[in-house]
Amino acid sequence: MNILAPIGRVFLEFLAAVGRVALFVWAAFSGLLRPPFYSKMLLKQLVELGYYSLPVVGMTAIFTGAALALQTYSGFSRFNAESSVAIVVVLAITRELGPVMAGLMVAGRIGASYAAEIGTMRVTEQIDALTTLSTDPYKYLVLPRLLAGLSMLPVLVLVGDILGVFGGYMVSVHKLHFSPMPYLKSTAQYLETKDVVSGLIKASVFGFIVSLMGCYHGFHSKGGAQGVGAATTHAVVSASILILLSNYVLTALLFGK
Amino acid sequence: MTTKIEIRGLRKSFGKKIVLDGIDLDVAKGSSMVVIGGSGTGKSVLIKCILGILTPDSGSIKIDGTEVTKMSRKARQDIMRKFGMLFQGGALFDSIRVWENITFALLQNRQISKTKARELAIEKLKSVGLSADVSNLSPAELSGGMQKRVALARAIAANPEIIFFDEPTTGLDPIMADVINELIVKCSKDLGATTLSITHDMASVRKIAQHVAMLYNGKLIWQGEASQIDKSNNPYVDQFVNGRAVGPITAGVR
Repeated sequence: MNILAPIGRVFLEFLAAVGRVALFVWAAFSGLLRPPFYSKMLLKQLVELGYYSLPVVGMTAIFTGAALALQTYSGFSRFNAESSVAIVVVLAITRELGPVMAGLMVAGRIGASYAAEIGTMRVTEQIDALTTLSTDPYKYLVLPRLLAGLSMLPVLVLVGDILGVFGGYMVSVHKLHFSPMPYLKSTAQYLETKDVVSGLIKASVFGFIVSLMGCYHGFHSKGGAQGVGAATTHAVVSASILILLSNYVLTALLFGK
Repeated sequence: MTTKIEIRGLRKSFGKKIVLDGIDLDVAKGSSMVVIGGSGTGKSVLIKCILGILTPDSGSIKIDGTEVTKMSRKARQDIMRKFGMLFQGGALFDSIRVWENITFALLQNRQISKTKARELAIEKLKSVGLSADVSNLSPAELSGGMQKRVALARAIAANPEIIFFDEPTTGLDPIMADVINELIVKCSKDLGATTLSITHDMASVRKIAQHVAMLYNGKLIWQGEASQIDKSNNPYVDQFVNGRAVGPITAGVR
């Protein structure tokens, strides 16, 4: 009947979802300063996310940097701007590709595993069992994972930045025959602190999004194996889309003038 | 005789489906109450409302005279220490070993040291008829019956005053089911605990119940002594107890 009704319904449903996620975050963080502290769980998640994601994030960064150097060279040589390859590589890696690629890779690796693990705990009543054992499941399961995402993705991205620049350097020096020292010099010359820091801020937000979507969808999974599968899909898809969306918003906030 | 759990006018619905429609139930201290009813009649919902895993729409639940439905999360956690719960599927944490499962609540809340916890776990394992070498296994390495026993050991580890049993014998062979029933009776007796069980296994009811209540269509349609269950003169109870396909109960029978 009313053409606006479906639009309104979708909008209200969207607001309700935002509210539910916000309450979920609050439920986890309200236990931050109240003992007992599950430091062992936190440490486990920090290692799982920070250390074991290194190979995946590192490989992604190296090959992204390498491809970027090739592309930039072939494009920029059309107007004799080959000397800009170094600076384009380092800016693209630190500002954009480092955090976004790492975020997406970690969404696949960590977001999916959080959703599957917590979702399985939900459908096998292990989360209810936590409650009956006087343990707050938000604090025990969700909070350590959110903190791990928030703090470890910037570390991963910092390592990724270095490896990405290294990938670009290898291709530039060994394939495109740049001289090593001038290449490194021009990399460092135009790079500002802000370029790196903005990427790390993005990384922190992306890490939080990945952990949050994994935990949220796992926590609210229903049914059996099918429900856990759906939760995993939702976690990865929603985290990936939110990363790309918030990447634009953050770029506009950090660099838009 | 004092009342341990007092439920009045408890209502809970999911969307348009009314699951609990005004439940009144008293469980006396130290007694054993069994709620029977078909699958999907809301037995689990009843227990989850008492435990605070689900929030009822209206009604009152009092534990030792204290209203628990509107408690803060913190106060709720403290009162949880009075409870033990045996879940239908065991709900053991598969990422940690058996002894850590059994003493989970005590370890997480820093009430005992690791060495003490291990000793306690072994002691509790013995009381459910398992040997000490089970304590270092992971739950996935155990058979269904053993998982149930470990879950029982975990439910009684903190010496709870109230123990809930959710379908304790489902999925077990008749002999193992009887073993679990006997353990339930023995453990609750040793602890002097009040127990509330939900089941549709009549053998289990006859073994563990002192009082029986029957849940049908969201209401408790019959309550009485376990010994009266065969002469209830209630056609619904008769049909259920004797397991007949024909009778007044039609909802859910396809």
